[in-house]
Amino acid sequence: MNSETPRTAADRAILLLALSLFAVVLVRTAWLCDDAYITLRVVDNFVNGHGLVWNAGERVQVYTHPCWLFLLALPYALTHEDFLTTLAVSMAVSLLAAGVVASRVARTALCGVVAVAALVFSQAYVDYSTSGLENPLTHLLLAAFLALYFRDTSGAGTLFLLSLLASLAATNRLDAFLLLIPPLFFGWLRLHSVRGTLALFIGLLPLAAWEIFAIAYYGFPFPNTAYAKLGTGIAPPELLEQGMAYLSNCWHRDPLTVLTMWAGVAASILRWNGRALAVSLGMFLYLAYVVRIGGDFMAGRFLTAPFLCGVALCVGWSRVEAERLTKTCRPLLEWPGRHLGELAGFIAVLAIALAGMGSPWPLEQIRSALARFTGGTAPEPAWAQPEPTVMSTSGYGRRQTGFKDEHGIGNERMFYFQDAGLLRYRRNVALPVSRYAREGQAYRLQDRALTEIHGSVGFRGYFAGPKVFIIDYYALTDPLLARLPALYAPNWRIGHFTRAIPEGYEQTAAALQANPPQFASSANVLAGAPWEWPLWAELRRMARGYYNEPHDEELHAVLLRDSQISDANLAAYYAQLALITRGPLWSRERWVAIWRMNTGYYDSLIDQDAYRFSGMRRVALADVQWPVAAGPSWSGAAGTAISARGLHVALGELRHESVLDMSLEANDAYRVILMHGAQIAAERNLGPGEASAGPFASYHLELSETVSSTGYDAIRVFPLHGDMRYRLGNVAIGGGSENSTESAPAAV
Amino acid sequence: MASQWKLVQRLLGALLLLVCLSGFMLVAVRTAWLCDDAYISFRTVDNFVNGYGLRWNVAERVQAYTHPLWLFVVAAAYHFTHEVYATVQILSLVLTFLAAGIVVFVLIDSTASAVVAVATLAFSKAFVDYSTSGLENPLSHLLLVMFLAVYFSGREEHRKTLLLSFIAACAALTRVDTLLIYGPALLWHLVRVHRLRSFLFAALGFVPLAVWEAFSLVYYGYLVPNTAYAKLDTGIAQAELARQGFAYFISLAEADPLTLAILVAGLSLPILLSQTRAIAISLGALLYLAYVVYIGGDFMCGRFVTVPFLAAVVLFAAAPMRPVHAAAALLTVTLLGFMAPYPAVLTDATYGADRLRIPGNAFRDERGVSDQRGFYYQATGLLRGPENGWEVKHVWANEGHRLRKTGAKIAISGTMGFRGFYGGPNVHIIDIHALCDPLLARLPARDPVNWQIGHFRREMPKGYDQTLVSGENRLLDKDLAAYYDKLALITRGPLLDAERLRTALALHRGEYDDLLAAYIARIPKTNTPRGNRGEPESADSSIRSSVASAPGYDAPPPGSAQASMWTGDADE
Repeated sequence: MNSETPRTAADRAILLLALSLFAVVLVRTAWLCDDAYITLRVVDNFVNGHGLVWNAGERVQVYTHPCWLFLLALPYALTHEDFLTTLAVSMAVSLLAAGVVASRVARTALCGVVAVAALVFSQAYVDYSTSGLENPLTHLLLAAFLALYFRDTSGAGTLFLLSLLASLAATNRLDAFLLLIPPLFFGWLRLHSVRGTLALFIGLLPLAAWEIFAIAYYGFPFPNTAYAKLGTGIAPPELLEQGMAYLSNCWHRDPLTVLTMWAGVAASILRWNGRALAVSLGMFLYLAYVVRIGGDFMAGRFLTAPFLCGVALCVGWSRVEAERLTKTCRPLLEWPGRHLGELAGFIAVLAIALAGMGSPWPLEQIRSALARFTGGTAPEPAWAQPEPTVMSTSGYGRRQTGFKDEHGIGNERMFYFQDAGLLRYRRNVALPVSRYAREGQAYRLQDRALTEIHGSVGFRGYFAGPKVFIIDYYALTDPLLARLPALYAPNWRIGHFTRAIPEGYEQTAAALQANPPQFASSANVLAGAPWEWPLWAELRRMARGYYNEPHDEELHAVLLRDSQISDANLAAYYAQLALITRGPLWSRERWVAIWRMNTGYYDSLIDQDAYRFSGMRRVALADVQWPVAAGPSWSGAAGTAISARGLHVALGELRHESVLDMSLEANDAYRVILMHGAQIAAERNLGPGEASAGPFASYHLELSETVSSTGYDAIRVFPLHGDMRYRLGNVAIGGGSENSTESAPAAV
Repeated sequence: MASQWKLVQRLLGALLLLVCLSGFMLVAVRTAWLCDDAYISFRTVDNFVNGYGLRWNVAERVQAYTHPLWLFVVAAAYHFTHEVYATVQILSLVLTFLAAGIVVFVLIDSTASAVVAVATLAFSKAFVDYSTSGLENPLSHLLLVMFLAVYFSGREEHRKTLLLSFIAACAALTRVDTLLIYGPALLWHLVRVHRLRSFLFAALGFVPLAVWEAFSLVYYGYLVPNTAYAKLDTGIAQAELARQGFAYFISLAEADPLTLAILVAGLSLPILLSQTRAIAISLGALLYLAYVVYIGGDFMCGRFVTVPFLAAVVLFAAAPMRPVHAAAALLTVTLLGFMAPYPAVLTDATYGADRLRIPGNAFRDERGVSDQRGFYYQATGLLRGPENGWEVKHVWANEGHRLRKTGAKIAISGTMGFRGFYGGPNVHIIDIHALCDPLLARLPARDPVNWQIGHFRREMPKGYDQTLVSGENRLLDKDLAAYYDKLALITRGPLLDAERLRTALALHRGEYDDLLAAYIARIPKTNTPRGNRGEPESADSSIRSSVASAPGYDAPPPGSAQASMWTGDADE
């Protein structure tokens, strides 16, 4: 905050010490998550000449971070080792990012120390400085961007560099672009010249190049994971609530990260210029997006980038800004004003340390005081902070009680540390030691083509090797499942959206894997060393017009030959999808399919309702409309069992009655939804209630006017939680049920 | 007036430094301890002072120590006191005080920087632990700071060359590995002076080392200590050792983050500031650390990094700091210090007592690297002295006393520091980890897959114990017997016998290696499958039976408390 004098030896020494602290903290907390190994399988396939694919033979972009993937691929090609290589790259990049923040963004050495203190004590930032995900590279690109951006230089060259860094950050993770759009726009506005516009667009070329490649190679502009995680069919309000829970989780568990973001916003207001405010705006944009998509299941993962912006805003004061502030403060603080920088620095470090160590008393007291003030209940203490991040040792995560909160947001480092933490390194044990890794290795030992269905597919997929085709029922890596809606589950967990596997899909995949369709040119275009890629030959052929004549008429037949998907519409959809993911890269049919697939031409082929509500037990109203006998609770015959995937009661016609009575087993909780065709007309959670007729509790539902006027033709009941044994007693539409004793007055 | 004020300021600064130094010494006193391995050297000292020669087992001349100079220093003190417990701890503390004093008052100009340096020393678990321990580290520290003081001073060239090389030679006599630290600096100095005569002076400085090597060759028949053969020539794959060496630093990161952080910061600072003279020291320290990785580190957490750590502290604190820098650095150092699970500054007389109650070895992490001070503190701590009656209170020491009382002729053991020292000169101890045994040290480790660093257990050759008891070669394997004849001539033959000296030279030239190789090829392999590390194995029946059949000694019944000695307790 003082003038920008050249750094003395002591300045450098304390910066170096602070960075060494960060380095040691990184070593002590380094870990890898299962999801990182999804990327590593692509890296492994890429380096071994199978192309940029996850399941060999199927071009699907299973990763969100192309830049990070290529960065990992370089050293991996040399070492062919997963664990230490990935950690070394992550740690080196993270350290570099911290170095840029401390020495280039921060204007003085003391500011640098404050910055590093904030980084070291933020649980989210430390956790995701390794993890094997792309965060470190995002941090580095962001830090470089901000270092350049806060410098008072403006010119086409600077704008070009800024735009280049922003586009690299976007290629590393598309969401990060939101953070950088306002500052980039600000930079462009300041310059506002043709040259500036040109520089901006030239800088964005890497992103454009990647998008073109992604469309040509994978057939889609966005990664498969985006379709898997965003196209789930979950109502936006539910996602919003989950997104807010994500922020609130961070506030309760890692308050420093949230506080620093607010401090950054405050600093931008104190600095009071467009340059700083634009960064704040970017943070808000980004956070709004995070909330909209429901956050993530990895606590803090999506908050490290705005956190870094907050740190940069706090420590990146320019001399002019600092002088203006001190001038404003001078009458107030005559003596402290002279030492304002140093004092603020030490207070900041102490406050950071206190908050970062999760020291409960000040924050807990502030929180409970706030709660008392607003009349709410005092929040529970930090639930999953068994030890502050800086204190974590090799025993971290040995006990996993409460690693996940009630919204499914988990402390993932805690979950994986015993299996894949660097501090668990031993000379004769290969990390990770996870059960999933062992399963994958068992597949590899079989050394033959296999098709398997699994959920967590990171460790399994990487260790299984390229011979195993894995269908991921969370759809992160599967092109077809990602385009199906997620199974309806009242208790869905963010980031884990289970799909119903269509009948015959596994057999189709197995058949395709056993004898892949023979196309005119099915060579993998990214096989071998970069200078030997068949891609170049393909491009030359394309330039010669080789692909202009209409292609083999049999193409569809080839793809459909092995299709055993029983849903004919879906089989047709999959034929188009397989043409995109497996067909010859430059065939005209494929490009037509890409266009149509991306513009929604084939969307009608997917029966949304059938796959969102797959596997329900289906009954007619006639089967359940008679009151159950008031027998003892163990009379198992009474009522209708509800399967884990729910019960569908078909009403046979559109009903408009505004009153509905039903009885459900009393000791469980249920969700009841009324359907109007494939639309959800109303939903309501019921139970547990008081048993009135045998084991059943009766519920009286009054429907709102809009619901009864539009009507409903089916009732669906899903178990929420209970004793794993769920039953429906009866349903009576229009009231008049003798069992209805308990009234549920609220309208649905 | 101004000069008076300056004087007052300097006095106040010195006073502050003295206070800080006392604080550090307080920590050092509160943590002073001795380890079992130190007692290996103390047995040699005891034998030496009592006129049995520089031997561990009095029957044979074997260099069971890596630190001749430290041994002589201890011997000098022991000669007067005839007591080790307090003597060695006080001696170590004095050397540590001198080293810290040189750092603070000679090597560092700025008071603020010196305060940071002292705090760093006090918070470093490794440095505090190995400021005593009974091993050579305190002497190594003192020699390092003396070297640095001379190296960074602007004295006249030849005297400086002579001093530098003399100190380096002494350091090499204290621990030969540390030459790696001094090498680049010496070379840099010689290149800068760039005169032929300075090379002569450098050579003159190394005369003590040459004298010792000559003595070692004549007396022991070898240039390097027996421990080097025992620990470095184990037949274990180099990559495996390097992985263990990497693991040593992972353990350091967990147990002692400050030491690692200062190593990183201190050794990279000269490079960042491009101070050529200091870079030579950095380079040397990095070379040394690379060597530590290469040899697989050690089982004593932090022991092999204290010397480069001290160099890093000096390099780091060389930057003249203002109070604001010092405050920032102190905050960081304090945080790093308390990040250690067992910070050295917080320990008292109960250190390690809680973990001793946990079944198994709670001091050793899963990499086989352990908090040695925790393991031994209750037995040998300085604060425990009055309660222990200034004697080692440990089951192994008791076993040593028993050996002496029963007049045992021979014993087999894995940890033989306390046992050997208290067993006295009359018992011949076979060390199954081969540190003190000339024959076993030349055999490969029994299990090249599952081993703990520093504990490379050897397969006992059939008939070796009878050989030692009877005094005649009863080794069953003919090749090995032939080899042992040569070895015994060197370790037991008349010192200046021409035949003996010829054999020693032939042995160095590897003339008898094929005898050894032929035997090694016949040893049954006991490879346990990889990644299947279980509990330490129980007694090897072959050892026990061979001892039981050894004439003149009754083996204790298996399972008794005494029996653990016979199994070669591989606990530490």
